[in-house]
Amino acid sequence: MCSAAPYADSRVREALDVALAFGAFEQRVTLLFSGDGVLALLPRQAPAADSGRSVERLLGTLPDYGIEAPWADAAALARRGIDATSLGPAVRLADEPTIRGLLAAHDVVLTL
Amino acid sequence: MIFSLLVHSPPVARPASRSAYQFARTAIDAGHSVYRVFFIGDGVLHGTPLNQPAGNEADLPALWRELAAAHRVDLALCISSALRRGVLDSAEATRRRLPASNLREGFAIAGLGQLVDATLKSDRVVSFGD
Repeated sequence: MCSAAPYADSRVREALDVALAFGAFEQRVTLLFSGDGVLALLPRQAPAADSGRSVERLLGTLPDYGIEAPWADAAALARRGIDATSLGPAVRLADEPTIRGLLAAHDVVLTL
Repeated sequence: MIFSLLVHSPPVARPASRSAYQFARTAIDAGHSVYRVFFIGDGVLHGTPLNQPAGNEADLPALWRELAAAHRVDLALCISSALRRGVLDSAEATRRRLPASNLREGFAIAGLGQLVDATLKSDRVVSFGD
């Protein structure tokens, strides 16, 4: 789970590094973005040259590690006035029951 | 029960960091074991010996060091987070031709594979940070 804004600090990139590492070890990984973390899923990101790696580009590598499309907390999107359809087909929307189901379905939940 | 912890908040001015230590302490006192504490992001700042807490502040890095030594807890710092924040062991400092290293005794630099290992070897993994 990631609730940090994508370029406020390095937490989103570190969360993605963690996800990719687990994927590289052939573990089943699910990514859920909530809170300000949903901002990481916005398309057409243009980080400054010295802002580090593009989060959008990192998200594009998930399939290479066998990680399925990430989930976005639908309520967090709505609170931020983000149109869910603007995120593109590679993002799945999670309402509260879905989030509870995701948490229950995984042996380990890491929060960054 | 075997626990591992993921800590991503720094040792200063973060209640979550204190909670992480207290959780580990309490778990051990209750008869459980803590396999590994993996520090990532600003959490790696626990791993420098240069912290100088004020007299009435808890010295969390020192407390972790004591707990780890007494109960065989592995304290691991994510290497990429550590490098970004200037926490290096002597081997990495030499490799990069840097003038100093500053890894606190009792902590080790580690890759994300150690985090994966911790999740596979623990019954529960608990994350701390804000």
